Amino acid sequence: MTAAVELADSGIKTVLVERSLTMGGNALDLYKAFPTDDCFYCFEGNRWRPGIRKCFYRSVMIDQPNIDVRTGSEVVDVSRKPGEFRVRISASPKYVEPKKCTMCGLCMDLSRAFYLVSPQCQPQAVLYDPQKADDGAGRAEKECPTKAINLEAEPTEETIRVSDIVIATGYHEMKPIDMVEYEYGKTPNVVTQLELAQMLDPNGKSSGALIRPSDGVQVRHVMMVQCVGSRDERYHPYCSKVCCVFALKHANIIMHEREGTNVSVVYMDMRTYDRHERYYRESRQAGVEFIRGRVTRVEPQKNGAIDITVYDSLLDKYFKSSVDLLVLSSALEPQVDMTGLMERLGLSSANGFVTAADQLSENEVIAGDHLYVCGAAAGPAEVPESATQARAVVSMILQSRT
Amino acid sequence: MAEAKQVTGPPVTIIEPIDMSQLDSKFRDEIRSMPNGEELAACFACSTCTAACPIANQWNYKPHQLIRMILLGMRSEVLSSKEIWECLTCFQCQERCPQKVRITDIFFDCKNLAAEEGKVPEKILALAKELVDKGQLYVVTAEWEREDLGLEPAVPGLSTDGIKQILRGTRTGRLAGGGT
Amino acid sequence: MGCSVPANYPNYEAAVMKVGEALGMEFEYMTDVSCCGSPNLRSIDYFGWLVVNGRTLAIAEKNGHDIVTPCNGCFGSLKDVQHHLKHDEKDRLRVNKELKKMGLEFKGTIKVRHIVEALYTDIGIEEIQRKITRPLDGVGVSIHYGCHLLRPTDVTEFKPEMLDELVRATGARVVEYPLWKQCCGATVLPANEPLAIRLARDKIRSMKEAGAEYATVVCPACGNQLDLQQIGLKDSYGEVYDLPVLLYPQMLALALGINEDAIGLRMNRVPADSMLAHLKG
Repeated sequence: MTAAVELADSGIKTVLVERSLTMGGNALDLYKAFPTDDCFYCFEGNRWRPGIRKCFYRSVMIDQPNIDVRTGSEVVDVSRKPGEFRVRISASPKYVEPKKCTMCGLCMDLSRAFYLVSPQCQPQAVLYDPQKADDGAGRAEKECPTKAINLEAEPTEETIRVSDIVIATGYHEMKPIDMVEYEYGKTPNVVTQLELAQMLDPNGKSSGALIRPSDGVQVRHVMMVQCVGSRDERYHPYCSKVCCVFALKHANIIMHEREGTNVSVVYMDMRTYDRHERYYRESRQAGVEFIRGRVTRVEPQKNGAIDITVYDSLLDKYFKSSVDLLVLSSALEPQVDMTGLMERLGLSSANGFVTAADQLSENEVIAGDHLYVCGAAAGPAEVPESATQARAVVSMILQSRT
Repeated sequence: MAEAKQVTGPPVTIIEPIDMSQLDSKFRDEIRSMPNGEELAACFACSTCTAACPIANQWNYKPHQLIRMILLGMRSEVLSSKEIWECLTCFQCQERCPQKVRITDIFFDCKNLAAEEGKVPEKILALAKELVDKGQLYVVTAEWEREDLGLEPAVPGLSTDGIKQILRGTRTGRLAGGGT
Repeated sequence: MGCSVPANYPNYEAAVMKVGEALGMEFEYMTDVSCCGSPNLRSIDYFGWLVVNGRTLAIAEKNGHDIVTPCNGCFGSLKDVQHHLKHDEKDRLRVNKELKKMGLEFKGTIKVRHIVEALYTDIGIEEIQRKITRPLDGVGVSIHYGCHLLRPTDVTEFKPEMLDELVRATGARVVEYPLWKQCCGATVLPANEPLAIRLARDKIRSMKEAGAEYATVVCPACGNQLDLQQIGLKDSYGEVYDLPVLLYPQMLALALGINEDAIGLRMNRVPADSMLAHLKG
């Protein structure tokens, strides 16, 4: 989004293709992002834009005429003529026109098929799920004050011509079903860090209350396990970089904001690099329990609690405790379905992520001729770092046109 | 340091650090050159193996510590430990190791080295003798049970000559013949 | 067949042969093969272990048939030796030098298989179910797979689900329990007997607590630990679990309508006759 905005501001027409129905990717689910411990959209400094409260992306995505946002759209084919790509985009039916929707909420009252992904969704518009269609939907279409709804919408396909392609498809959080020792997928009270972030989000299902997914009982004890699937030759050999930081971000939120709940973190090495070391210090001071070791066994009990045995390699002892929620800091994997696109475009891969075309160059964002990559699509990355890479991409594109 | 034999002597005060020049720096290469020992140095001591082991809770040296000892060259401690012989060979550690260190296989290698030096637990030595003398670990004693079931009393096809011949010429034979 | 099954569990041998007969599998006793040595031979004499098992593999290659075994120890040893000799050229040359003296050569052409995998792959669940005349009534059975059948996965290539489905095919209900992957302790019996007894106890206890009425195993060593060792548990811990342990082919044989004496049900150390009451039809 940063790249789109800055390109657009520089006068370059940009088409932003987003596979889901709303923009933002994983960032929508982060709740408070590091390093500002704030909703991620707001930490850019461009507060001078008129017409918005705090979130500058909110209206720029719609109001900046140089940006053409295509949500619910996917790139199905690209012909490889660098500088003159022909990109075929397949779009799902646009039931609600985002430019007309005022988020008045009338349709949502009339029918269960209309919903809002999040108050900060981009574009700011209601979405329609045809699978939940009911009688109220037709009424909503008639009564929508801005006539934004079209239930007859059809999927479309269009081929556009572009000079450059920027890949910013983000990452996918590994769901460690294959790691049977953690019982993920077999019992509801074992979750991943992104799932925990959604639980902590006041806009989430439980309005931010930390309760067990299985039975809604208040969580008293959380255990987090680091390096699940990362630094592991059987799954992902690399370190996912940011999970130590965001695990502790979550641990601090829980310790400071959720009364009566405490957190243990089971780790191999604590990699809160750079200025993020403060999360580690803060969490120790907040009373988070750190166990350097690994999990021996996870035994879900009938009453919803989980009995966990861990080995503490500093004390050389095995410990057993009962927890309510087990959170796995699982690996940041490449986005699903990337291999087809990468092959079509002739992109190089490092562990499945898009990598620099020239391995010896320190310019990480050039993925090929007129092809650029930024953000987690290139490998695990922080949010500020991703935005910085986006600006590097913009700079490269602008320079290529002079 | 006090010696066990003397009644009086200087009290135990400080324990001297282990002198690394006295360790066997070739031990790690020795293990790495043995079957499946190649990934030994990839160990980053995460202790997943120890967490996975069902019985290490009663060991003085845990699996990840034994690997550390091999890497540092503590040859005599590792080869004379009781721990390596208590390994269940269940492969849980090897299966869960994130760096694909073949721990169980490495412990097999250590046991082989220990056996070369004659350090084999009594009952396992007895098994070695069984193999060399009888050519099998379990001998049929209850022939009538087999006959009741319609099976031949002697196990069809089971030979003892081949294995005896082989093992007499290898370390098993040397161990069974009274050890080194 | 190995040396342990015929000596300690002839009923397992009989069950395997009877099941094979009923399902149309042709088993041929290998001639001139030996005991595999068990992991304990591997511990003291790696090279001897390679040659002994290499010889068995070479004989199978000469016969042109896959090796099928009902013992996890033999399965683990043979499959691991084959895997090692296929990948390690130096050891393969050394072993073949010894085998040449006996007129044999290891090439790695045949497959080493466990009886349950052969049942699953070659016969298939559907065919087995079709031949079952006396299915079980959903009685709870917990499965102890055994370490050398499951691990290391890159060597054994076995999926536990196969045995789950085979057990279900007989009409029994699979009872899951937390310690399903844990070792029975057989290998450590010579080195530390109390430890082995403790492991057996933990397994049986876990099975019982999960609600199992019977247990099933596919290896004579595991059978020994879980079946016979229940007597040892009474001595060491004063605990009586009374959990009958059946070798899987025994269960299958009963479901196929084979008479219980033919498979030596009475020879199981913890009385297993009560299983007969769970057969329908």
